[in-house]
Amino acid sequence: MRVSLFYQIRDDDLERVLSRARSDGFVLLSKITPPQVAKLMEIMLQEASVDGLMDLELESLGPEGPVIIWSKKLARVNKSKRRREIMISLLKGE
Amino acid sequence: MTAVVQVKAREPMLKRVLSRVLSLFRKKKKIVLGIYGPVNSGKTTLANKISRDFLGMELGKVSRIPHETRSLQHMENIKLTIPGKGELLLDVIDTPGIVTHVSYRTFLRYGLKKEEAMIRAREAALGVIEAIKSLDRVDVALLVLDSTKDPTSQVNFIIAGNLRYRNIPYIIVANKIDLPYSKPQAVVKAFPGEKVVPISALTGKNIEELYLRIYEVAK
Repeated sequence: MRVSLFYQIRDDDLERVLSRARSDGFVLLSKITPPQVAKLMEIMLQEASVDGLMDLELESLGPEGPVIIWSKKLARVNKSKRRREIMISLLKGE
Repeated sequence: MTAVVQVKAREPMLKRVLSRVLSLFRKKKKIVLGIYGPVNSGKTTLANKISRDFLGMELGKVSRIPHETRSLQHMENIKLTIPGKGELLLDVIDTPGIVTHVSYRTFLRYGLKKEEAMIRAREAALGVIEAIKSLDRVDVALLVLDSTKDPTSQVNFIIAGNLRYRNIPYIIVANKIDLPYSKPQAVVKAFPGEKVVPISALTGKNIEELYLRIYEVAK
């Protein structure tokens, strides 16, 4: 698993961000606009399987981000209740 | 023999044109009001309350199972009259609850069979997409939150952030104030400087205040 960091992405990069999350396991996006978060959610929900299950999960950590996206196959993310700590656990891979 | 011919007096041209122009300005402004929020926050209960108050009928089914509303519900031409203020013509859209992920397993906990749960999950995912897309066509929005729950959830911030970014005026509705554990003051604290109206869509408590706020925001 690798962690990819993106800063100020363009709308054209959204698909690439999701494919990076699938391949690397974990993506952190900084300076992302609310419509971009909504668009990411939209793409992820569109790609959900017939049972509604998604291979990726998204968490927006505040009104202006940052946003984290991770592959449920490669990583597990635990948040502390006060949202100041995020623990990423490696599930598979090197 | 004298023939009497009655000639109907015609309005002068200028007067007719003027009255036509004035009627355009007198025409009521129509506003599209979107109801947004997380699942089970009482959006459809509020939409039903508005529908009952102005159209005399229910709009959608309400359930304790999440994602009962899985497609947009519309109410058209609602005339909101505020005594002493004026009138407003509204089209109301009730949207499915917005979530960042959907799983059929959620519905199994509510006693649904696996097949039913899977269909519901897929419809729910499509409903969320519809709800997000509808943000492009609303003039005013209500962000309906369950005041018995933590208001600082990511979904609430995502919706509020999108409304702010798109310059859509919105009112935060702290719903379910009829419940003993409701904390509308926590909603006010989570969204400082925002318009928050505590209501109970179920009992109708403080609903007049909400109608007044909608009128003020839309005008």
